[in-house]
Amino acid sequence: MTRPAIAPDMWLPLDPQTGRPGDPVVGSASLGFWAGVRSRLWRHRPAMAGLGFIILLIVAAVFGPMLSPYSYFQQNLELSNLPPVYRPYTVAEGVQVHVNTSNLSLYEVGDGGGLTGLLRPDGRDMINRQTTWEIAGKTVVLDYGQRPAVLTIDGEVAQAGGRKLNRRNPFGTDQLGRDVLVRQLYGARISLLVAAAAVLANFVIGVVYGGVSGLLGGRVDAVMMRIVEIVATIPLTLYVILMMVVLQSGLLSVVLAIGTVYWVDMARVVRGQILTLKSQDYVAAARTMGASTSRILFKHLLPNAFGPILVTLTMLIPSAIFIESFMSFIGLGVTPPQASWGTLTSEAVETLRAYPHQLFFPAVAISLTMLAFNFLGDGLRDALDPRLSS
Amino acid sequence: MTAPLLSLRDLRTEYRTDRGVVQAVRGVELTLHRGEILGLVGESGSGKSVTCMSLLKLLKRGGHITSGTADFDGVDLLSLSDRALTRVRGDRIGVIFQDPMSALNPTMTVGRQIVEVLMQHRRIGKNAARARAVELFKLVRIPSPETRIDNYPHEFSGGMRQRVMIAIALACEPDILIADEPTTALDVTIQRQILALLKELRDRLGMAIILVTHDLGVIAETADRVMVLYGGQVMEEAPVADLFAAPQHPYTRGLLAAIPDPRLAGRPLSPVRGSPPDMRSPPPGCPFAPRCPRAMRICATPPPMYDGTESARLRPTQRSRCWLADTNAPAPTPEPAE
Amino acid sequence: MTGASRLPLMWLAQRIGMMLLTLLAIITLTFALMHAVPGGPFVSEKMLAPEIEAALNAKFGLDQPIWRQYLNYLGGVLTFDLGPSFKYPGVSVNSMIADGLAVTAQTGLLAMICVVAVGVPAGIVAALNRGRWPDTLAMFLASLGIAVPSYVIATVALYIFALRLGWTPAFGLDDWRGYILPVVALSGFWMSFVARLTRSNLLETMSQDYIMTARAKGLPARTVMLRHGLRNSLIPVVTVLGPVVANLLTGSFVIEQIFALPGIGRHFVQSITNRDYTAIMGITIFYAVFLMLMILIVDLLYLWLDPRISYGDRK
Repeated sequence: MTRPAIAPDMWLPLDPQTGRPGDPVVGSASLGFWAGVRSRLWRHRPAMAGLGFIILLIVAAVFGPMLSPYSYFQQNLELSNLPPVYRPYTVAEGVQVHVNTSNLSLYEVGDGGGLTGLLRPDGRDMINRQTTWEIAGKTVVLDYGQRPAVLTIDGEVAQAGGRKLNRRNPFGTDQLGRDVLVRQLYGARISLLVAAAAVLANFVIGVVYGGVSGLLGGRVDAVMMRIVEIVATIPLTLYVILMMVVLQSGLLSVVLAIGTVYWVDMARVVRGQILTLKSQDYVAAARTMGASTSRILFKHLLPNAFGPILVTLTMLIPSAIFIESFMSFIGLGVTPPQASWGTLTSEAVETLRAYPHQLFFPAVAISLTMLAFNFLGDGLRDALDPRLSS
Repeated sequence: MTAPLLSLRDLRTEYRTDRGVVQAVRGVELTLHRGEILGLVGESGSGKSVTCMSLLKLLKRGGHITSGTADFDGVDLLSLSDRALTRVRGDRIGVIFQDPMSALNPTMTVGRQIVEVLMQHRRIGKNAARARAVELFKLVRIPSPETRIDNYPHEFSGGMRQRVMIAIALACEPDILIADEPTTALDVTIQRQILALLKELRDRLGMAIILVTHDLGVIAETADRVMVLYGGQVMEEAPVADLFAAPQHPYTRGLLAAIPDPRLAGRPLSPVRGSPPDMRSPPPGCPFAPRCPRAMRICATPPPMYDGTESARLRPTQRSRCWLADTNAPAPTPEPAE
Repeated sequence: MTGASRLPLMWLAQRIGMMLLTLLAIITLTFALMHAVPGGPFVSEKMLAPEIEAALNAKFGLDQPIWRQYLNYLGGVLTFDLGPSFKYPGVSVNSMIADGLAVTAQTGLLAMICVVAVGVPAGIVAALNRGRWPDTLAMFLASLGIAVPSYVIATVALYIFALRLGWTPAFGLDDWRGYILPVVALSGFWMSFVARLTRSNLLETMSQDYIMTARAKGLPARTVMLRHGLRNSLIPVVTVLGPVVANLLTGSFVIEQIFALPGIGRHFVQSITNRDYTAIMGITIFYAVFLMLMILIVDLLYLWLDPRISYGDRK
């Protein structure tokens, strides 16, 4: 075999100063654990979308009601069940009305496009099933002898115009004429409050309970876990319901009920983590150096169990939000006039036939919030355990 | 010498991962003769396991063979479809894996796991397959095979599980047995028993074995011929005796120096310094150059495979991919005297 | 093949003992909670004359000391007698439960079948098509199913399919179509959950070493997937079936209300709004017993499916 000639100087050993050919690539493996988590989470698009939504929701829930001219309890029965979007009829130049075909009322359209007032009829003919208004010198007749009702202006059948936004109440009003937008925002406040309470209970009770149980081990652990087992036999929802029976309905009761029982999962997770971590060498090392139990718990074990705790927490938040809305939906949660997404939904169900749009906002709000927290939790789990990510 | 049983040429395998393409195997050549035990040795990530698994296209997710031919009895394994390969796998080429705990299906009796492979490749009834399974258990020396066959993997010890794996791999009397780190997960005493069993089975059944390991001790004890892999390439290849007596490649020397030698007790071990290259962007020349104590300027250029028949620096049966094997290269410095 | 002989009697005895202990704790807890309610059970009827209230208290044994009431109640539960309803004269809690059981069991069972029959195949299809459109679609729907609360699914479905399209009745179970919406709403969450679980378990299982062994044996890809992959990946799915039952139960509270189904869940919610304390206690205890039995069955099923599991006293 012939090989190309090699210049003699190529055989010289490498000078250490000039470096060696092709130094080993120093991989990005030196990146810290949390930096890796952050970068993986950052690239997880649904999680980021979820986080963005949650931040938006918090900001809206905190500041929204302050900016609104309405309060969540302020009723205006004249302006009840107004839609967020409507198709106005033009009576005369610059005079438009909105017809509610369910309660057969006419509403005045304000300058900005908001539905500003109820128009009182000038005549009612119950026998011919007609209601008459005199508006801007014209005779407006709503004939409800047929379905849907027909509006005539000076004897001519009127046609509805293009869709318009209700600028007075962007989300419309409910059956008591309360502004749906501001009630939605109050619902968000309640959901977030419940979430915060659940988080707090989890942290304070769950982490400590699980931590102590796992750390002490032995008989204490056995007894503590038996208790958790007994508690976990029947669904948490049932406990919350029973608590509500005792505490009577109301926001405080819901928060209290959820706080009292929503630590069980966390206690289990923390205990499991502690048991795994406990068997690792660095804890033994800390123990031999004379560290106290609480020091080991707080300085060594919990920081390392932080990942799974965080994931459990983000997964518990949506379930706490769900349980509150669920309780409120079946009438065991917050009391009127307070608005929760659950009560808003159940109120919407009452008027489902006539005003289905009222179901839209609370249903979308709770669903999006649950999705956002779920996505964030999924993303967090994947980011913390890259092995599991797909 | 007769025609080789298996002849692998220019195998290149890469893994596509989220963080880039890993070039796991970069042009490996391998020849295997009937009845031979060929050792493949190297650090983890050197490409030794991937080379074997590429033969049967048993690659994990993201793995692709980008080039190469593997002539096995006149058929190119690498060009076979997955369906055609199923007739080779388990029948003509058997495989045993590193961890016998995880390599056996935990929810199936070991008997069924053997019967399954027999019924896949042989026209054989269930009872006959079962009888054959008992026979195989006897062959691999599992005590009371008739009852053990109905046990689940978790009811066996590690060594016994590996015997079960061997029984499965040998069920159809393959021409080649690929043993991928067969003893790594076992105790030292069990290791010896398993290696002795493999050798004995080779003698009785006459199949060839490719033994993949990172442990030169295992090689010394078992293999006939060795290939040292590093950075997805073959660094050195020689019969076992020659490799241990006269290692040529600095990497092989490094590996040998890292083995504890009772005769040199008290002298510190000298591990190979540095870490293996990142196979997403391997060094342009010799992959070992960045860690090599004898690196030269020329090492930035990929060294050719020197053959013992053409280089006086090598024994006739030895091959080495190192510029130092060139007759023009500076002579090796003598070992420092003690 | 050695299923029966692996049945650990010691473990079973322990489990049943533990169940009885749990039951005792639950009875005590609910009893204590119900008696902790401020005011008496008849507090809502404010204009009750004192002598009538006294007569009522005597009738329900409320004039006796609390420990006596507790023992009486405990004795009743042990003889499967949950006592009379506070609100409906002449109606026993037993008959209330018996009354609603058929409806709740029917919808619950159908929902359970949906969870398994839709969730598992959807998860398998998603895993087999990992990263392609069926996977994306299935996992998108599963995300929705997990996030959207059951009562939202129920009301939206009620509006679209019953009120707008008129395909299904809006309430009642007179017709087979009446079952569709309640069952879908009830099973939506767990269908999605099981689909996701099946998918991730199957993917995880398919990356196990023994799958590589099965491939190395020369088994066709289908056989590898079905015989080695699927079975092992489904074992963990069985473990969630216990919680599924529990959650179908609580889910039924709201679903039965929305679709006006006369099940136990509706009775339960009604007795809460009615402050019918014996009914609340009785139904809670019934739920607890039922759930404990379900969890026991799931554990036994698990034992049968996974030979690695041993509950203590196998040789």
